[in-house]
Amino acid sequence: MYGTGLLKGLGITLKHTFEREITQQYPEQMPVLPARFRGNLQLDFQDCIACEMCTKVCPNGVLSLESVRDDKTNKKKLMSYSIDFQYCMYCNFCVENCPKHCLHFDHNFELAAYDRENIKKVYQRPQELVTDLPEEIVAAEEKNQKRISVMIGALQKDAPKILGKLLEDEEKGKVLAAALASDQDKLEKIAVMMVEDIEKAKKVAGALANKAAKDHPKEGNVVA
Amino acid sequence: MLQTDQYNINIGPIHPSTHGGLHVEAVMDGETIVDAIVHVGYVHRAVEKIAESRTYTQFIPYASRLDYLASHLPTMGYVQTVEKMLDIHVPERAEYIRIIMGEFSRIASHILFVGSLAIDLGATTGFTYCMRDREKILDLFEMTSGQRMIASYMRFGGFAEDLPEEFIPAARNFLKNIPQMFDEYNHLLSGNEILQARLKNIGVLSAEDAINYGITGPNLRASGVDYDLRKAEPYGIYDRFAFDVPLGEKGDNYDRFMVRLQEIEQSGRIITQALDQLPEGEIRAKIPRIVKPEKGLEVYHRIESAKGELGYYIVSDGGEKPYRLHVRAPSFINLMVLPLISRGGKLQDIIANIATLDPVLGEADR
Amino acid sequence: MEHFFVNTAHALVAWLTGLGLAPGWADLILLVVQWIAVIIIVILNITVLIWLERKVSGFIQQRLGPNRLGPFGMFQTIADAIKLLTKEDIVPSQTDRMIFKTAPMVFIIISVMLYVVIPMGDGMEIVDLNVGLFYFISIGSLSTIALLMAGWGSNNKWSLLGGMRSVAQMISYEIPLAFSLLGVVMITGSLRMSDIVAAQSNIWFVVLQPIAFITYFISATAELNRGPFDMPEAEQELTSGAYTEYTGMRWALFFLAEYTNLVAVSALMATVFFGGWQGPWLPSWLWIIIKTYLILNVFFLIKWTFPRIRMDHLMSFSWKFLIPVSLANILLTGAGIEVLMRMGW
Ligand code: SF4
Ligand code: SF4
Repeated sequence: MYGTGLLKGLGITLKHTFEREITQQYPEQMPVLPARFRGNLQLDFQDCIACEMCTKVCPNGVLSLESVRDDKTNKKKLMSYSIDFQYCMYCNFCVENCPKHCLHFDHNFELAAYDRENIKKVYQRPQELVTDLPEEIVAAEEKNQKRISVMIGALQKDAPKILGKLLEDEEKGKVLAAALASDQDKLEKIAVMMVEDIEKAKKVAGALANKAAKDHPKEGNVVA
Repeated sequence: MLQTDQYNINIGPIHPSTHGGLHVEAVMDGETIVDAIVHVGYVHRAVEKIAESRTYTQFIPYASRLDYLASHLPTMGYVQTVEKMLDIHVPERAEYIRIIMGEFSRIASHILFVGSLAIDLGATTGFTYCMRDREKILDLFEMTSGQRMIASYMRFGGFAEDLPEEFIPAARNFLKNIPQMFDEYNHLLSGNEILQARLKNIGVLSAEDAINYGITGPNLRASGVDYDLRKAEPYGIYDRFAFDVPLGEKGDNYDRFMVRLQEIEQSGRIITQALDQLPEGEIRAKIPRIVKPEKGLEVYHRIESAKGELGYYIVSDGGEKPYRLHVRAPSFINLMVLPLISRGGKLQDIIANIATLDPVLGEADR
Repeated sequence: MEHFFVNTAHALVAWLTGLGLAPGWADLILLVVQWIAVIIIVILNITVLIWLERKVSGFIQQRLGPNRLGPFGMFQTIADAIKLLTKEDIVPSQTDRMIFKTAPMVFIIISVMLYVVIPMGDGMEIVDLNVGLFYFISIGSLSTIALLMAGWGSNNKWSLLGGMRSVAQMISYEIPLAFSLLGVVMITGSLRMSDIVAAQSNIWFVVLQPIAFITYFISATAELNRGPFDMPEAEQELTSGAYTEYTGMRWALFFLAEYTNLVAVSALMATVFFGGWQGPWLPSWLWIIIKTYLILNVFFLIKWTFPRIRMDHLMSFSWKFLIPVSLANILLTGAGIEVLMRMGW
């Protein structure tokens, strides 16, 4: 008869109404993940021999690494390894192709981030491992560190002048110095930049100065 | 006589029932469709061009992303094409696992078809029940490859890893539940008079038209044409299994719906047989580390994917990367019949027509 | 408990006249108080009802429904209301502004007006009109206009389609709706709600008039634009039909009005077919609430089970099936009454 199908449908939904719910209440109740689950890609820094198998096999250019060659042993040393995870396709090729099995996926799937930069993961060579690098590299690194700390000191002492010189505009330098006085982090970043890449430092400082001038037009003048 | 004006209405590209970025420009007279123009390309990712800049191996995950609802099937098609180029023989066990994974993908895709048809017709609950059942298949995929939807599990010559221990009991458990699942769908959806009234004799596609338009897959079989590549031209080891090819009679929306429902059952049969016969042994053939087919080699290989005949055409220039790769995407070709079957119907019918043609736009736009 | 509300009202009038107010003025103030009570009831009811529908639909689909805010997620609706209130009120530039802006108000006013004649307990009608049922039907059918205004004023093809659908649908379902109630009126011999309730002290009309009940139920679902007849909204086809262009609180008003209508129609159904506020042990106003909520749950179950009917099927179902059946029911009822009268009842 016409309508029996409708009633049967109602029966089905009514039956399920009184069944147990199957919802997993996620943050409280974590899912049970199978062993092979691919979450976040991890690297065992010590084991990596910088052979670049993984970077070559990755279809989407997720992986990149920097290495130096040790002249004495003629072996590569890994300096830094970066995983730009936003491009990963979870294909597992890198893991399969690593001869040292030093890449693996963990079970962490909560990878959301507010910023693209935060998704990228960079492994730097840990401090205690720096010493077993070839001597001249260690020396260069130390020299660099020293120059940076000197620069920070100078900036803390007489920021307006240095920044003015950097920006080739004294007014701007003063404004920026006033803005940076309260922000030690930024000051240090600029110092590092000035040592490593003066062109970049100029650009960043210029942008910051413009922003500072816009944000506190009065304040800047008062300090000046 | 009352004079009426025709007007155009844009269904999509952002619309609840266009299954992705599909744009159908409908020429309407009141609620009646006079003509429909299909615009595709909103999900175009230049997959074929990407293939030219990736090595053969690196393209595997991209192939999975063609038909993301049944990701093992397009991967299988691609992998088999390259194996054909290189003349690789896949170990027995791997062949069986391929069948199992492929048919599970087909079931997942068809379940989603049932669900999305239900929700397009306004039966939300049918959709949630289907999603619930599909999750169980995705759990199986996650178990084997660590990925739920787009599992890059197949490799040239076989698989990356063997099936985990807990897979076979879990798979059998799922197969055991298929009849119960069917009961539910039949009572809630296919037996429902409202649903029948909305699908029967709507969007009729005659066998002749279907062949002329190059329609393949369940849509063709719903029109009564007995053509299934698994039977007609068995690839892999499909010739070892006993299964039926469900056929429709009229080629209307209801037939397209029922054919897919019955195909779920048949796929279940194939998987049961494959699980019973599954041999022990290797899962990956020895293949060269760098895949370099001979110069000038051209290969076309086609499989029966969940949406229809999926073909890969690859030309090699002797390098590590394909010189040209073309995908014969069934969704794209099936979609082109939409204007023909929609003319003269109502606005609500075109929604049902899109749903029963079951296009996946990732594959149609490539 | 039984006469709590009635006694309060009497006490209020007595107190006001005691203050030296003319009885006419006192009644007027009482009316205002009753109106405010209705609005409070409507709003409170909505918060519960939306929560209930989400919970019930969740259970149907083996989900949990809202469960984060408050006990069992009770406060979810309130949070949503706050969200909607704080949303930006967008009036698209190409709309017919006047019509666009008044449509939701018209809708909500019409639906609140329905509550005037519903007996919410023994002697608890706001106005016991002698044409109560007639008033209910005629006011109820006005909501078509609100939907048409929304559809037309939005100046959007989807909205217009939704608006036109609602007009076609509501006008065709108005007729079986009225006809199916006619059988009840013939037995009672009165359009007054209290008479209808009183006539059911022995036997509910759902037993005497089963056909009328079924036709009424179907046409009421269509009148309310509930699934499977939710043509004007039709999320999957018309994106959101007549409501497509509405945002924030304007959209919420439509939602509110739909639920208000839903409760009103369910309460009427309880009154006309299920004995109204009559029932043993519990106070009368509690009985009508229980009955109404049970009927509401049936509406929910139907909406969440069935696919949407096609527009032309919907129309032909009304004109070719419901109207003849309800007419036949009137004939049958008339014949039955005649026979019983001859037999000397
Ligand atoms: S999983 Fe694939 S895409 Fe991701 S980093 Fe490894 S090789 Fe690259
Ligand atoms: S393949 Fe392994 S060992 Fe080689 S560079 Fe990559 S992570 Fe290091």
